[in-house]
Formats: sequence, C-alpha cells, structure tokens
Amino acid sequence: MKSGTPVTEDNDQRGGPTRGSTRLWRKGTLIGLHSQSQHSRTLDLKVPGWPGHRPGQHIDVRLTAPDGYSAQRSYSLAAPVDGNSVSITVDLVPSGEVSPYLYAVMEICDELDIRGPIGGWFVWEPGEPEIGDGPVMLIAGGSGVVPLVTMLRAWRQTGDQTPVILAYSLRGPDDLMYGRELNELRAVGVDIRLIYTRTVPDAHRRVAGRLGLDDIAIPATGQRAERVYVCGPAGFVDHATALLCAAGYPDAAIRTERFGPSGAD
Amino acid sequence: MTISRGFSRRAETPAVDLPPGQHLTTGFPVLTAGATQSVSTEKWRFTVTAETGQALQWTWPQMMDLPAETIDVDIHCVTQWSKLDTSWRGVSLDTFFTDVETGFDYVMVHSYGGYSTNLPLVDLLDGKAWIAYEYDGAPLSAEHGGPARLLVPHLYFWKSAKWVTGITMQQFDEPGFWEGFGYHNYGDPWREERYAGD
Repeated sequence: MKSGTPVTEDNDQRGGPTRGSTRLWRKGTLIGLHSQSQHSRTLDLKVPGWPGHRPGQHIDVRLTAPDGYSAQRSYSLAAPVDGNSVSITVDLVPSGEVSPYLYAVMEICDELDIRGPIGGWFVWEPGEPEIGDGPVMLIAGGSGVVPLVTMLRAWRQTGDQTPVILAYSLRGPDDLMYGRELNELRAVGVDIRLIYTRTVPDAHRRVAGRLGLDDIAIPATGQRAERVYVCGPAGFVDHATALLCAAGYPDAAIRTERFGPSGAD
Repeated sequence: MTISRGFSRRAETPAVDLPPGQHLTTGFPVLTAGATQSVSTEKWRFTVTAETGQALQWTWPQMMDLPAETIDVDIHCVTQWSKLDTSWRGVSLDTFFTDVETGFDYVMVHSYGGYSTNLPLVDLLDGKAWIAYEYDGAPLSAEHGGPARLLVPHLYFWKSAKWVTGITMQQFDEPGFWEGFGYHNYGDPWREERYAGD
C-alpha cells in the first residue's frame, strides 16, 4: 500500500497550526498503561521525533500483523504535548478490530505506527483571542470526553483563568472515565456536571435522563459561552447541538467532533 | 511498517476490495465540523457562479424538474470507514453545468453553515458528481446533508459537501475548510491522499 514511510518530511502543514511532519508514520512504543473505566484504558506511547500537538487534535494509529495485514483507526490525543510521548484513551468496542487489541492485548514495549497530529479545528488552547475571557463549555458524550479532558489538562497546566464548564454525559458509573482527575479539576474551579442517562450513583442529585437545557445553562448571568466544544457519538452530538441552538448559540460558537455508530472503534 | 506483536487479521474480515487503510462499516457515521444545518426545501437554493458574473440559480421545484438519476456507489471517508453499495438519487452536475460559461478549471463548493471544499471542475463533470437529495429511497436526512448534498463518490467524502448551496468557479485552486486544516487538497482514496503531502 502507498502509506509506507515517506522519504522526506513535510515541514509545512499548510494552514495547520503544528510545525513538523504530520504525514510521516512513526514508530510508537508502549511505555505506560492506565485503566480508565471498566471498558477503557489509556496507552502512553513514546514516539521519537514527535512534532508536538494541540489539545483536541487526533492521531491515526496503524496496526500491522506479521502477514502484512494492517488496520488503521483515528484516536483523540489524551494528553497535552509532553516531549516525545503521546497518549490515547481507548474505549473497547467488542465487535471491533483495533480497539480489542489496544484495550486487552497490547503490552508494555509493544509497538505500533502512528501519524499526526491531525485536525486544527477542534482545538482549544488557553489564550485564544476569539474566546477572550470565556466562558468555554465542553460537552462530552461517553468516550468523547477524551479530547476535552486533554483541553482541561492544558487549561490547568497553564494556570489559565478562563471559566470552564464540562458537561459529561454517560450511561452509568461504570462508564466514568477520569473520575479522580475530574474531582481534582472540580476542586480547582471547573464546573463539572455529570449527566447519568441510565444508572445514577448514590448521592448524585441529578436524576437519570439525557442531556437537557439545564445541563448546558450558565448560572446566574444567563450569558452564553464564547465557544462550545462537543464530542461524542453522532446522535449525541446532534442532540447537544440542537440544545445549543435552542439556547440561542450561533453556529460559529460551536465546534463538534463525532464518531460513528459503528466502524469508529 | 512496524509489526505489532499479537495483532492479527480478524477471521471475519470480508475479502472486498477497499482503498488502502479503509475498513467496512454497515452503519452510516456522521461527521460534521459544526452543528447540523436545518434547511427547508422552500428556502433551499443552489447557485452556480461563473467568472463572468453569470449566476444560475435553482429553487427546489426547479431542481425537481431536472432529470434525476439513481446512483449506486461505494463511499469512503478519510476517517477510515468505507460503506459499500450506497444508493442515492439526484441530479448530475453535468445537467447544472449545461449552460455555464466558464474558462476556469477549479471550483469552490459552498454549504449552508459556512462549510466549503475545493475541487477541479473535471471532477464534477462527465457523470462523476451529483446533487443528491435521496438516500436509500427516502429524502436525505439533515444529518446526512439534507435536503441536498454534493455527491462525489470517487473522492474522500469530505468533498461531498453537505447542505450544498453553491458552486463558484475559480481560476486558481484554493483550499476549502478541511483542506485548510491540513487535509489533502485532492483526496483520492485509492492513492490514500488523506493529509497535505500524502
């Protein structure tokens, strides 16, 4: 196939924010594993020559079998830039081909190919003039929380003061990713709203139900967020953007990233 | 190419001819940069604008009067899914361009909501592209670009602009929305032209 390693690097991702080659396939070596929920885990990979990335961007991952068969998928980057290491958080799709390997088979020191970073639209870096003093709203459905947590980590690292709200919709407590980290973020001022759609844990005040207008309301002032990022399954993103539209948000304030009902494992 | 220890082909992987790096899906993933656009057929307009200032415009009923075709094609998304044997109904771009006078070689396609994508004109003509308004025998839903979208099945599907509203002739090729964010300027799935420089 054509996607062998190119001979030269392309240092000019036209219009894109990232310097360095994005098209080069690079070897990634697994150096860290962290369980993230009952059906997801984070993989830390060392990638020599990694050109850096921005919160919200994604990578392509390629697995190759000894007989030459290969499969590719896209995954959001799960951590802000940190030298030559990148992280992805993989939610298991049992019927899938790539996620079962990444979730259950891959071990420390195993290798795969990655390329990127990809995408310059679904990106938030603190300090963007268009966003000004904010607030910024992040709306996640299921594993769509991954790029949004990456944004929150960057927000925290830089000591940014932009008010930020995370509305995170998930079926039940077993699906919660980044639980401890979300508590820490709440403690440093992030307005975190967990929206359980089916099974609500004890002591959680909100009753079970899908994301509603109250969940995306900004208290007191009645103002709107300067920018909203929505990431999740396609149906969820459509639902969330319809709510945003009903709440008076203009299209220009909304950025979305969707993954399909199948095939996007 | 790095071999990943312990990875192997799934036994049920179907033996079909797909572009490199693609896998089959039976669902119909939706990928859009922003909110789904809600465009009524009453308000819908499609305009082709040439360098002369000539602008030909069609309303929905006018488009419905044009000869329609059924298009059975495979489609390929840059996010690595492919879907086989999709069935559409729509009007060939050849029909819309019958009376367009242009010496320019490139187009910019515009959508409700502000999306844009660029193509060479030749990739729209000679039975290669349509304005599609039905999918699988039913009106095209808004999430898939309804009431009408561009359909250019021989290129990655981001070129098949949803909620299409116009085509502007251009003397020079300029990047559209995704092309400006590092995606390939042309996007041939069979040559795996995903990103700038591929």
